[in-house]
Amino acid sequence: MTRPFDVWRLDGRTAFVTGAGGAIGEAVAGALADAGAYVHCADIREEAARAVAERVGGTAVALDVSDARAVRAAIDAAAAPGNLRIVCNLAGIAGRSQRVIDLDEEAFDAMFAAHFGGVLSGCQAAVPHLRAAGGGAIINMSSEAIDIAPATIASYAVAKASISALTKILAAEVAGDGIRVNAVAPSFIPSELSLVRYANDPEGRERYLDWWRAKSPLGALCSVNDVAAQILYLASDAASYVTGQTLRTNGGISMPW
Amino acid sequence: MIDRLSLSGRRAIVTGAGAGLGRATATLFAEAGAHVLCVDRDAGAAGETASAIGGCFAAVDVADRMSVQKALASFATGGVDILANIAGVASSGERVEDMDPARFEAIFAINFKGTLNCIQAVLPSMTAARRGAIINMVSSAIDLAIPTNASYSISKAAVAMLTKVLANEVGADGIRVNAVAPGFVPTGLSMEAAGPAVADRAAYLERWSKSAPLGRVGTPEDIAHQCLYLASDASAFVTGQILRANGGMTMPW
Repeated sequence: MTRPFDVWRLDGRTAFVTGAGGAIGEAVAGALADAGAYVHCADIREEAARAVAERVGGTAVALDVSDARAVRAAIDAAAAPGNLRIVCNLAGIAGRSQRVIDLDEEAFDAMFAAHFGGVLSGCQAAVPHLRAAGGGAIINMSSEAIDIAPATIASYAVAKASISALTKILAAEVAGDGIRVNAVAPSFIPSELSLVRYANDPEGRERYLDWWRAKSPLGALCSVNDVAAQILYLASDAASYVTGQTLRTNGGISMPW
Repeated sequence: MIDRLSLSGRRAIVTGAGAGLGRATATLFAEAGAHVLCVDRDAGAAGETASAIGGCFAAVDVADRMSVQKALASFATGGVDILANIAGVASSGERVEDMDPARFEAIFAINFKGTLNCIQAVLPSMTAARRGAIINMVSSAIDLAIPTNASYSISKAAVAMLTKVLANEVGADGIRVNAVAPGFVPTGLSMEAAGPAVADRAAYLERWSKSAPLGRVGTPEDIAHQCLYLASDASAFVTGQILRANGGMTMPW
């Protein structure tokens, strides 16, 4: 590859991706590997992690990101051969519909631990290794929910907003080490997980997808490859002056300042 | 995935292409495969960029609506996939209480109306083709509210809002509209804007470097790559957004 695409290449770099067994994670792992990175594919579902790792020529890691010690051990292991330069904290769980007034602490805590706790653990484990490598990129999964404040998914939206805030603060703290920290906030992406409610309701599923299409000025749905391309940009040296930002691939559903 | 960044076979218009961010962007677009019309009010500079990258050029002041129409619409008859509105001028260095309306209008005429003129010149062609990517140059000034920089900051804030409204209007036509808001990048324009402060160039750049958490000033390439992302199919689902390559100088929501 020659200019102008050479700075988008990740040859010789090691990446660690959580949630790699999911639809977005698989696309991200694939994009990073296509660009030349060696990818550690972590997922709570070991089989899913293994399938993706095989496809992208990487290593599978069985990992529950709500277990901070396990996250540290997994990232330490991935970094051991050296040159860990990219950590994508993508793992998350689907939300349960609940109005704020009915929100129970247990459900909130579980959501917060899975999203914010997992990302925090990933960041804390990653920073020493990225620093040792002379710099690197952390990309955290936020969500369109931080912009549209959708009713009944407060736990999810609050957890994701916390991830965006963490992203900025960490970015300011570790910029001096050459570490960039950014987030992506995609809009709704159809997947088995995100459409689980409609598993036996194809008509309801289509209505729901049309509702999302209608919200976007582009009249379309977000795809996993749109997110993967944005993460590739943030992971690469093409974005070497980008830190502390939340990038949106949301079809224009929200356009914050 | 990197192949989604290719602009092979695409036709692009870059304004302000004679220097700085515009020249870097025109160059990167051409390297990515695009045929580029280099627009600048300085004919020599536009021609220089065009001949370096194998593109064509038009000597046009973007504030001159008739000339813009003529030059851009003529290029657009062959199709236009990308418009990067990079031409701009810097602030006059006055406090708001001293702002001279005529000088404000001169800056607004280029930064805002110049952008609008170019957009209006290419929209019919993009709408007919049902595809297009428009990239507008804004600035960290829209986040920072720097004293004595009101004319420039306001003109750039206006472009940011234009970006969002237009994105909503033309999304259904397959046209994406986004903005980039660079941090401090030393160019002829930004250094000239510094005025007397730039007497000690090294100290001035050092101050800006320190104001970004990443500890350096930006390069034209940093900005050009963000423009390439937004111009290409890699950002097919990105519209109405302001992207910041600013070293972390500002981190709005």
